[in-house]
Amino acid sequence: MGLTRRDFLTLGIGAAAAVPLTPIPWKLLDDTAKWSQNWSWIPRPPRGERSVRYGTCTLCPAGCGIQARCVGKNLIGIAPVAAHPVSHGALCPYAFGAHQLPYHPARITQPLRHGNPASLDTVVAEIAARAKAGAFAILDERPGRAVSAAYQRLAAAHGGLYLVADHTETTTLQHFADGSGRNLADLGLALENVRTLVSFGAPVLESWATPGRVFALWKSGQLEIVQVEAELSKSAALASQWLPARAGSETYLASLLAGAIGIAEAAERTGVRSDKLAGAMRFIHDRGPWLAVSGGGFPLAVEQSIAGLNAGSGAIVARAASSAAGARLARVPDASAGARLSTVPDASVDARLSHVPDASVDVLFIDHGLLGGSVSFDSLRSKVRRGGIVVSLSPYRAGVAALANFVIPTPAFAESLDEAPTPWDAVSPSYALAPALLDPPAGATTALDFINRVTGGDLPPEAAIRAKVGSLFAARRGEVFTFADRATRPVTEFKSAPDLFKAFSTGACWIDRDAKTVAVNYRPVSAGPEARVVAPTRGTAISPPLFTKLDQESRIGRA
Amino acid sequence: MPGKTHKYGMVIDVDRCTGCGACMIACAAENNVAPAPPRATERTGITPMRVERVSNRAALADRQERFLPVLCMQCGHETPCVSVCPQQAVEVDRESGIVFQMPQRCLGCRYCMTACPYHARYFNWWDPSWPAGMENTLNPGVAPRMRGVVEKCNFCHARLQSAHDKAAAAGKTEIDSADYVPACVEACPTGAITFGDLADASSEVAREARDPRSFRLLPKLGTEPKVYYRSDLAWVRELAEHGGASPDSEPSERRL
Amino acid sequence: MMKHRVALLFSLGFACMLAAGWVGFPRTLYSSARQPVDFNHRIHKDKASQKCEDCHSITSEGVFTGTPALANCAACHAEPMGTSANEKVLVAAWVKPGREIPWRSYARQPMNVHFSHAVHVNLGKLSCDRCHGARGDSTTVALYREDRISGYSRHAVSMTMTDCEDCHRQRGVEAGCLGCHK
Repeated sequence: MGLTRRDFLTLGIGAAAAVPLTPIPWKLLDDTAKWSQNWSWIPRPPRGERSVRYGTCTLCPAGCGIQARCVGKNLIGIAPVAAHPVSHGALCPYAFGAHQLPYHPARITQPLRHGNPASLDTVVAEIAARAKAGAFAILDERPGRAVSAAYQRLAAAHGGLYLVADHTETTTLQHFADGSGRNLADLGLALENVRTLVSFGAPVLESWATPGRVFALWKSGQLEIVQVEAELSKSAALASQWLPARAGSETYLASLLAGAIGIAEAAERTGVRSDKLAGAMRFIHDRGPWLAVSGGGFPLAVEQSIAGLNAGSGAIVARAASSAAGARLARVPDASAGARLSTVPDASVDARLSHVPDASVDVLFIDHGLLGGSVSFDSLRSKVRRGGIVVSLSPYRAGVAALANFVIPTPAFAESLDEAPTPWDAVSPSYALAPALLDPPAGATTALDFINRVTGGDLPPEAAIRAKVGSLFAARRGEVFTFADRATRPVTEFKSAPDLFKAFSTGACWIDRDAKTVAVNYRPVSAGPEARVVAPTRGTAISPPLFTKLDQESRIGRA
Repeated sequence: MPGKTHKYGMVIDVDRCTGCGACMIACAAENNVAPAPPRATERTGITPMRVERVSNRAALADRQERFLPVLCMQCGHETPCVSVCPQQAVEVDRESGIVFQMPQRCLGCRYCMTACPYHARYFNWWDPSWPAGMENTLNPGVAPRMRGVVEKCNFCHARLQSAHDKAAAAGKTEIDSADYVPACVEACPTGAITFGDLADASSEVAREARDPRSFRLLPKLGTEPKVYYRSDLAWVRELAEHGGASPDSEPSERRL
Repeated sequence: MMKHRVALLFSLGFACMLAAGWVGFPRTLYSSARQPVDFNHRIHKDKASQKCEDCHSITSEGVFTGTPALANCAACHAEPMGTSANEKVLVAAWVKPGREIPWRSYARQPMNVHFSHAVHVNLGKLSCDRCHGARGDSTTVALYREDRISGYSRHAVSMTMTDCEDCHRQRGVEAGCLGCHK
């Protein structure tokens, strides 16, 4: 008798009856739940040894000290460095999202030629030929570094121009520089010596000057803010007095402060109530020394009247020549064989982009810095001759780089040795290094290395930086604050320049608090070219990816 | 963990908050919150720390504004979210007082979001997504969350756990308070946030919380938040006491 | 025979499924792999007088170092010290080329679990043997068996949440959710 269907059925039922007595159903249920924990698209944080490394944020000119929390070779978070002589333990939102910048979607790791990927060698050959045949210029969006001095040196040696753009934040200081025949880089704001800061539209309690310095003075009540602005900006909201002058009427407030007009006239012209104006004037004058700064963007005459408010107040100072020595790059040996020693020009000697005649440049190199920079493409384009090219050196295809003829990928945040020279507002010269905390991708090349390659320059970034550190060591001025132990030592305690370089590379900041300063007198320059190419100091082409929290997922907006 | 119980809390100085948002970014970085997808809005995004801009609602020339960092208030009494959760996915930790949200237990009913009077809870409408390679920047101390669960501020529990590890390495059951600093507290450039153990009467945070100028949000609800605020401005205190419509002051209303 | 045909077939099916479920299923469910080096704990304990914490230590920050890095092995085994074949493999394939050994972790927990060795060893005074068994006396390392569906190792089944809860209950140590989850 063979096996019938009923037999198979009985067999099957027997098996089915046994199933719940085996692990099969229970284990499968359990395991499918656990399987869902290990799907490939579930994000996995990195694993590895945890450590803390110190460095400097170079996303903006302030140069704040940072601690980077690391897991293995990855950066997983940024924190401030307390008691830092420049940043005073402060950091801005950019720093906290900076460790994600190397992975920004706009990142490029291959050169782009007219928007298409190209090999580095092709691009080098083409640009080198053009630079040799015509006039080249280097626009440095982060002046004051040793690398900046290297640009100046190579521009001088190879018939090129070294340029910097005007920025909104330094408008008032630039007027002082122009009016006193000094360099912008030698001037500073003596914020510690004033009691009130009268801001004409400058975002003084947002991202401005060295934020840590401003906040430290403001939160203690030592420095009060009077904000002149048509809009209730964040700074206006936080200021002790907000003077909501109608847009275009700021000049009358300047005149009122100068004593040229009375309260009644000022009230009528600006739309601010008389009692408010009177209160503000009393507030400013009663408190003691005050400083007026402009946020930029006003007509020349208005800027001059704002700058003029500081004439003779001693609030704007210049570092005396002797103390500027530490900021100058030392004599650097020529790399070419049998060469003499040559002196590197003072990094503070700038040529302003605004003063360059239109259509005079064949190849414009732009060192955009770490956030893709901010000068507008139109203003740059006018300086370039027809048929000339714009070469953007940036980690990202964004901003000007998205429109440039060539884009050369440079290292992103914390991927290469960088510098934090004296911030524009500082009175004491300072210098810090930002060591590389990450390895740059294979295609990235530093801006200076690339420009050297296409123009025949011979001073690589590290050599320039070491020379700068050497000059700091040789000048024997100032002290060094090391981040790991928060100790301060005089420079003279370091045994050698390489010793000092090593300290910088593991997180340190040099500052010369004893640098002598002199008050600067202001004389308005009656017929100077208006700065037509003005970039917001903290304008950027890209933002840290987490900025969606500010821009999109809440209504707080940017600082 | 055996030992003393703590009541971790904060005092936020509203007069010192500049509205920069550093705390928001530092919080998102510490807690592995992803950058928002393009379709996220201010109602569907995830901001465990969120700075709101509030005003005295006067005419523009007399308008005053302040910035109010809002995070989980860590309610200490009849914690609303704990009492409504059908999954017991949130509990008040006995040892630290932290209202600890466990997204892995959450089933996504969002009842807790309705119950929270401070709108401090956020739902993962989408799977988090990071650009290629950015996963290398995630914090291994905090578990990632997928879509369908609610998350909120846990007072940087990963840092508390690290502080305990460090204390245990030295054989101690009590942590060193300097080792436990939440991301927002560490990030604030003006030091507007003070953090510590409210149960320790000698701590700075306890002293500031006791100060008559300190106040809490919506105190009449009886939730006993562990997050205090302080301001010299009476209207800020008024607003905190009675609440108000969600952040007022459109950008267009701020220009003359 | 006919009368019991149904009972017999039923029992046969029953028995076959029991066997499939208890023997066949585990065999197919778990993949197995050998560790890259067949490490002998006992020799290191006896001949080198090493204790657990010499290679598996807790840092001053309270972080458990887990399976040691290559540097640990290379410190002594830059050249073969004995005669075993395993050691030759270690030196030739890993130490000399400087490659980190990709040990498979038996105890990997889900991402939301926070287990602190510092707390359990230093404060809880638990000996390593209590949870890991007398590993020090073993002469080989166990075959690594991994559940193909869940992705976790078979050994982790003895380190689930209920196991933790049982021990905590026994010792009267409350942890709360925050104590163990992240």
